[in-house]
Amino acid sequence: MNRTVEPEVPATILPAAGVAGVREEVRARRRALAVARPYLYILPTFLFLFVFTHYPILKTFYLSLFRWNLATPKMELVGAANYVQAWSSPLFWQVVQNNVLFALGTVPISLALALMSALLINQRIRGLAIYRAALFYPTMIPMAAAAMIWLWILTPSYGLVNFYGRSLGLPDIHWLGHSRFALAALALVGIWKRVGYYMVIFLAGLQVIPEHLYEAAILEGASPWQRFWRITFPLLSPTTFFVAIMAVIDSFQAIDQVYLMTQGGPGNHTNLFIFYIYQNAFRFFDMGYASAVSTILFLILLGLTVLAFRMLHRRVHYA
Amino acid sequence: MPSRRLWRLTVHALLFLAALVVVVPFAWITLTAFKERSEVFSLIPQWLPSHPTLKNFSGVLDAMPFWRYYWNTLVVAFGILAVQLVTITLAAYAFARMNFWGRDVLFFLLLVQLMIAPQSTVIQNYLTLSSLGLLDTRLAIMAPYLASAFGTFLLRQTFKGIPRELEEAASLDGCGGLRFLAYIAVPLAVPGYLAFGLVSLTYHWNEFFWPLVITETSKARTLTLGLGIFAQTAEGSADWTMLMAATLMVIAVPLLLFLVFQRRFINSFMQSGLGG
Amino acid sequence: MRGKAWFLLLLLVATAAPAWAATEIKFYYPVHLTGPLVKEVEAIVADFHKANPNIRVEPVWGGNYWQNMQKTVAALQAGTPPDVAVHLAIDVVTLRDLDAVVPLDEFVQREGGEKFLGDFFPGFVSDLKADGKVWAIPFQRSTPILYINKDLFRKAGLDPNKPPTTWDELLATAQKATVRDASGQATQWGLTIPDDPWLLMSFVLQNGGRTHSADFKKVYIAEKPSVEALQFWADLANKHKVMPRHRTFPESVQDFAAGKTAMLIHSTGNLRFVRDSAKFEWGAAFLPRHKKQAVAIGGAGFFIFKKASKEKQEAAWQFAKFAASPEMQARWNIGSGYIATRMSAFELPLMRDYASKLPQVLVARDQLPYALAEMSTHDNQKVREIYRVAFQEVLDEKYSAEEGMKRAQADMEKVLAPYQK
Repeated sequence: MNRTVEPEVPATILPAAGVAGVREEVRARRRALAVARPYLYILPTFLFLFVFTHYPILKTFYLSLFRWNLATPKMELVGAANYVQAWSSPLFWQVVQNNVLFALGTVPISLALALMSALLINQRIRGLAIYRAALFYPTMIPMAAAAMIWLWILTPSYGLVNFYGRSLGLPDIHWLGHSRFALAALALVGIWKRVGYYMVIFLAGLQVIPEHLYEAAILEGASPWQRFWRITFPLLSPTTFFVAIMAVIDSFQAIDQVYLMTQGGPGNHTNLFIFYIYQNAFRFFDMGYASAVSTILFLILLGLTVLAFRMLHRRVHYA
Repeated sequence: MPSRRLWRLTVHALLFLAALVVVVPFAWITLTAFKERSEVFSLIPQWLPSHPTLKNFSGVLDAMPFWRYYWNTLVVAFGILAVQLVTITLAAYAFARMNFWGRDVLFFLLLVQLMIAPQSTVIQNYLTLSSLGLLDTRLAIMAPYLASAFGTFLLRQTFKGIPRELEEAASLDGCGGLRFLAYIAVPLAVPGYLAFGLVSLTYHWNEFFWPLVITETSKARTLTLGLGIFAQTAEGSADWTMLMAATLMVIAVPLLLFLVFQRRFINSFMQSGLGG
Repeated sequence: MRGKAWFLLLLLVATAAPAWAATEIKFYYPVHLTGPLVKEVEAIVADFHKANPNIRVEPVWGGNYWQNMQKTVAALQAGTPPDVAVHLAIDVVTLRDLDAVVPLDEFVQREGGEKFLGDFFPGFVSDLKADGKVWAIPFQRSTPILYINKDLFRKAGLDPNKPPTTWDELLATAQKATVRDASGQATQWGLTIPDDPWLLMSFVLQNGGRTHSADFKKVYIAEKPSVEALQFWADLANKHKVMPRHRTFPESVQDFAAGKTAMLIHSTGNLRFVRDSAKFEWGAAFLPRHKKQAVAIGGAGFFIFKKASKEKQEAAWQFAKFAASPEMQARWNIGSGYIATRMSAFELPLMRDYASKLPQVLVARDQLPYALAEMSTHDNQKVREIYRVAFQEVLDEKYSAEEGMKRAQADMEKVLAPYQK
């Protein structure tokens, strides 16, 4: 049923003769247009969507079934060989492990920091807005710029962190060149860049919690601690889940800082998914294998999203 | 009430500390950008430049086609937004206020764009654009973003909120279809457009990876990519003062705009979270 | 009437234009160093235009070496390769695998054949040859050299005019020049080398080792000389602790400029940066020898592409020849530090002048008789990445030198398997 009503065509336009037949025709045309209209409206969107989102997903999967690289410049159907290659490649698993570690290093910390700052800023105290801006500004700058900033700050010897590290008696650490610290340094940049954004989302969540709940709780003599765990935390859980999933997905999409700060090194210790795909596709020209890894990543992220929606439905308590 | 004041002080102190950690890096690079090259190699931290200089900034303008990158970035970010505004308005309107066969399936297919990482389609998009002969063009940087599931979703919510009676009344006055959309629905959705616009501009201004893949020369390269390439090209001479000057030049305008229109920006990003 | 005359004139100009139109060629080039070198290349192009008004070169800066190569391969896939490009000598194999470039022998013959090539330093030409053909004209060539901070040498009681000449001396000097704080942490390194395979290869060659076969299908990094060289390197960092484990190319030069390291092994391409940044007296020397004096050559050459028309190939050759001329090479050397590829370039007054002021620039040239090709194979990017990662893992003590190289050798053989025909 279509509710968008077209203006009536004035009857005077229609010739007197054969009025009924012509009316019928006009009505049919109008009906056809009415049926087609919504499709015409969504056509531009779906045109782009199909060419640049749907088709590439399918085609990437298709390409992943071929060997297509410098040694085999003519595409050659190999079935699951690229997936088998990934499965049996220690490097692939190292990339998976790196990415999981990276997510574990960034997500809980960013979430905790974001939630804490949101709670503090949400206090009814004057002059807190400025902190909101100060914490949020890294969201506005490109990751590429953030990478440059931290590259400089983490530089060995005369970088800011090592300056003050030394005065605290710490050794001079080459953060980005150290097999154990490099990934942590990348995580630090990610946290620095994203906490402000997550905080703002938390703030939005906090603002819709009805004030009267707190008032009632205060009347009943609940401590701030109890108020947080009994009211704020449960009511905020949809937001928390949303932010958590977003943060995990973010961590699987991290690439700019890897490309600009470590190039995956030292010794592949910071090689993350997207960089691995990039390396294989555009540096080694191994398109088939890179397509297989892309497909795997696609499935992981799809799984996470679906999981997120299901969790959201099952676990979240609405007041 | 002293405990109230104590709490207020604690909140201020904690937030001040957090803000300090976040802001100090920015202050440090800003000061670095005005230093002489040899000065930064000191092993004792020196905050203020002893001989403030603008040499680094002119050096950057000399070393990379900065204004060309700037122009490319403007064209790309605003170009994407302009096309998106048209595509999302039409699609959101159809999804919000029309019934048609397959609507829910199509809506799901739209949401797929939100569910996948754009990076996982990079290879095929690169091949597609390359076969269209569009490698190394600004159009190629824009292409994958011309439809926006997020924007459509956001606007659909707004359009859904327009009361039926308003539309019926308008159509009786001969203001139906596209005219209703243009004169009534769109003006009502201005806050939504603003939020979407700011988020979209910020995102595409900042983007690095896709332009990295799809461009080959400074012809189409954007600012962030120019910055990255500038930093990567140093076999032996990453020049911190100049690099920091370049970084500052890249982020200056968006950051200034943010400082002026803070609330607007933050609210837009807030909505972007609620939309998802 | 007058309008019509104008129109006719315009028409005439328009139709005649193609006859005067210059041959346009697209030129991809990498610059591995920052800003000023892009200007240097553009200056060469501008001078070329002055000398050859009938050719227009469109210079396209593609980023660093491998980014530039990536651009070329991408353009090849899209069917629009450049007409001429500067690529690494080690990319000869890949460019030939892709059937992208033409041999230059015909052009070389025309210029006088061996007589023409004879003026180039032999090491620069030999690694651009394959199957007895010349595939590129040398450009932007370098070797690593040993940079020393003479002030720090004096402070450590070392003779600043006696740089180490053997591995043993290198270690001993580095030990003396390393300064540690009370806790044993180094506050100043004796030696710094970027952890890149290119630099490791020089040590392998000095130890009498080899890296790859002449047909580019085999690698030999698990052989004893290669493992020993890596062991020596790893010991410098881990056992003697006179050298940081990981430093990138830029980081290590900055450390040198900052006086954080007494010695630096790095590309000659950095000479200009060191010259402009060092606030102390510095010197340059040969890399130390072990079983023999040797060093791995790096750098690139001009390739001309198959897809270009005969006319464009001819124009591309004119351009490459111009850029490789002694005058241009002298200027390039002074502007960058990359070694002028022609012997006669060093006889030019410009170059003599420069060398008398900065004798360090001659070190790299004099080291050239000991220069050998760096590792070059099919699928070079992949092979090189395996090398790099294995090297860094050994430095991190994840594997012993022997184990690390054995694994890398096996991985490389997997990559090279399809080429063993």
